[in-house]
Amino acid sequence: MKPFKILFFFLFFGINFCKAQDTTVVLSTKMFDKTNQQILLAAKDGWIFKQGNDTAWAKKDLDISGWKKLKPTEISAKLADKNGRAEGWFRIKIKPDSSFRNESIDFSISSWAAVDLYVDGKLISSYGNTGVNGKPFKEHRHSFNPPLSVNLIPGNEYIIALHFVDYVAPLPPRRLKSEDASLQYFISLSSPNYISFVVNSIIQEYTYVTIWVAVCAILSILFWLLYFQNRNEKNLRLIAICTSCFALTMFFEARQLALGISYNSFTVYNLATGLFVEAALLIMPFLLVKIFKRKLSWPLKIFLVILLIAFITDFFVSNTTGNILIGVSVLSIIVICLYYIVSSWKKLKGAQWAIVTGLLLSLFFILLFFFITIFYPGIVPQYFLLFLSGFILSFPLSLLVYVAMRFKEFIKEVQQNAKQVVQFSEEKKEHAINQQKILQEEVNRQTAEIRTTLDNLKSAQSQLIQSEKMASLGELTAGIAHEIQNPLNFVNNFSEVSNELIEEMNEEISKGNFEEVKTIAADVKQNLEKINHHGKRADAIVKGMLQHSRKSEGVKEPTDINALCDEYLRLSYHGLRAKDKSFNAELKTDFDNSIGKINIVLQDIGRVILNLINNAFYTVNERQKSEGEWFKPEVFVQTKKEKNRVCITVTDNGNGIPQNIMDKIFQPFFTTKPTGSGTGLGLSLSYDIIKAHGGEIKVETKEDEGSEFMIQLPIV
Amino acid sequence: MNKLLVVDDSIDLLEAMEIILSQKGYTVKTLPDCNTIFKDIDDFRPDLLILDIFLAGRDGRELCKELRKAIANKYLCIIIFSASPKALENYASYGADDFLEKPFGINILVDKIESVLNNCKGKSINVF
Repeated sequence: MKPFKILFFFLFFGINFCKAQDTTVVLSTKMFDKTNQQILLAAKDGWIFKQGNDTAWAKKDLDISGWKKLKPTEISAKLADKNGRAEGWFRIKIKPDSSFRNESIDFSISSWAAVDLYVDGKLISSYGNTGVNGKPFKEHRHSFNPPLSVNLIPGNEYIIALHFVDYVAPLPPRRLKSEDASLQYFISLSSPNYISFVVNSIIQEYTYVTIWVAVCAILSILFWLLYFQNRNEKNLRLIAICTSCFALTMFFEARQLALGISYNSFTVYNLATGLFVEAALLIMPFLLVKIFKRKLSWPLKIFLVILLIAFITDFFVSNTTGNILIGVSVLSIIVICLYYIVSSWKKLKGAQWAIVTGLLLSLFFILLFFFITIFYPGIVPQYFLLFLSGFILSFPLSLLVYVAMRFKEFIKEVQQNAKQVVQFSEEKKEHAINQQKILQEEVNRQTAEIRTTLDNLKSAQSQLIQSEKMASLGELTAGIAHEIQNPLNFVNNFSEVSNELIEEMNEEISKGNFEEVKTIAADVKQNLEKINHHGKRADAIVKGMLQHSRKSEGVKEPTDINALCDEYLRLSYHGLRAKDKSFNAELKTDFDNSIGKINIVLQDIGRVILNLINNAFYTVNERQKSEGEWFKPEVFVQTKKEKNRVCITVTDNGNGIPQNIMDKIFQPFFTTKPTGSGTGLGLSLSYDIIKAHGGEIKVETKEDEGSEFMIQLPIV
Repeated sequence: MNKLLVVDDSIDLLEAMEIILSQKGYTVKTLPDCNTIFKDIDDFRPDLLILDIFLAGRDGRELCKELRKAIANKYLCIIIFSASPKALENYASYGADDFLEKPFGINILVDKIESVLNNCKGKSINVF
């Protein structure tokens, strides 16, 4: 029930060795206990007892038949009636010896029972109220009453009679309330030093208990604060709970020491003290397991459950059984703790040693306490308090040291981690910088590569465009040659004939036939005009060819679109014919003379028209080849003015364009011509050129019937 | 004064031939196409036909064959000419008397005309 009482207080006031006495108890000052300055009269032999109440029983000369031998230390709940009330009388004959000659004889009553003290039949004092004077029963609040000085003459015999009324305690086990105070102090004789001794003890006790409560409370507050700041630290919570249990134990222990405390308050505080100390004891093995990073084995768990049951049972059993239960339980817990300490010994490190030290110190102090209590019972009580302080505070303080050391370790770990992180991040940074450098270099390299590739592509593109131009030009070459050759031939022929005519003219001049000379001169003039005409024609053709092969300047100029169409139609036609003499096609034109000149980039649009015409001739030629003589190829070029635009249509009756390639014909490099025959750029470039002019290019086709390409150009 | 009929699709050539051959002393008629050729031959009654092979819409060689069959009353001398030497091969099989490759020098043409006219004299059939 009361581990603290059992462990400390019982021993605190020493173990008394009572000797058998005669029916007259002789008292001597030598009998004063050195520790507590009292003669524990209640424990002396010589007491007789009678249940019930009669004030006559206090008389000096009384027939004591019917009285039985019973000491106040031997009362129990057996004396109580069905209402739980126990009432009875004690009598003893004492004889203070001569050593009391110069001393007063002081009585102390220390019990929850209401007591009336009689000396030789005379009521000396009442403690609490037994109810004899008609007033209701009142328990005796026994915690420190000044001793009562009774005028006794040394050498004389006196009858001391005690009338007491007590009740059974409300909580189990069934016992008298008095039994909860040590019955041996029921009545005692106090030495003159007693008061100063008690005051001293009380002051010391209060001081120490205050220190214990303060230390444990501060520690538990500290641990709880730390825990609330670090919710993840479950060990810290366990430490805080354990320390709180210690603090509360100490607090309720201190409350029990309060002067004038009632039995009920005492019981509640005592119960609380027991509960919290048991909780603290039970938590300790768990705390050790957690701190040592061990696992609680199943047998130990079961054992701890048994201990818990034992602790609970303790509240309901008698003092003796309870004390045995508590003793065994406490010992078991000490053994469990020692088991964990010993089995973890080699693995222990750092802050864990603080706990070990604390526990071992605690154990050391309690052993020291028992040792001194048993073997040197006379030693001064402050040492007991010191040892108790060592026992009580070692563990909570070791927890503080543990937490502090853990924090140090933790901070060290954090610092190391931080250092590592910093180092790592610096390495990473450096790495990243290097990576960036490498990347940058790679990007630079690739950019350069891409730039080169782009340049190459650009030049390739311009080469391609040029080659496309040249390809279409190549198709024209024969036509151009044909076109130039004819005027040159005319020039030759006309000049030759003119030469002959001049000779003829000379002859006629020498003959004086001037009429004839005039006719010849007219012929020569006509010839010369023709020479001039054909020379200019050849000149125009060459210029046109040059213009076509020249790079486009992109400058728009007023252009006769009809003339352009006509020229390219003929050039293309003759070109094809020059290559393939067997080819023949009917050329049809329908030019709208109202168009006039429109603003276009001559070379560009020329190329588009040429491209379309070339394609038209190509397809009709292909069809003729495959279908034979009966097929009559036709290419029709038409110009037309519509509102604010000009439409140029090139129609052929060739093979037409298959539907599945219709969406590809304007893509670059797409061609249906055999490899090497076409660049695949013609229509693509044409499309771009027409778009650049803000115009449109459309195609309508029907397989095996022909195609119609229509260019629409805005008139700007 | 021999009469020459020239058929070609090039207006420039026809013009040049007309001028030059006239100056050489021939009576010259030119046709840009062969649509009315039979009527023209009937009207003009040429001594010599100078015929291009590649005419718009018509092959000179085929025309030559037709003419040989159709015109029985008078032997018509025919010279075919073309820019394509290949087309001139086997000119005799079409019924032509000679051939000439374009482009040509005017004197070569005149020589050919004279030579063909001389050769043809014996062949002429005079119905009337």
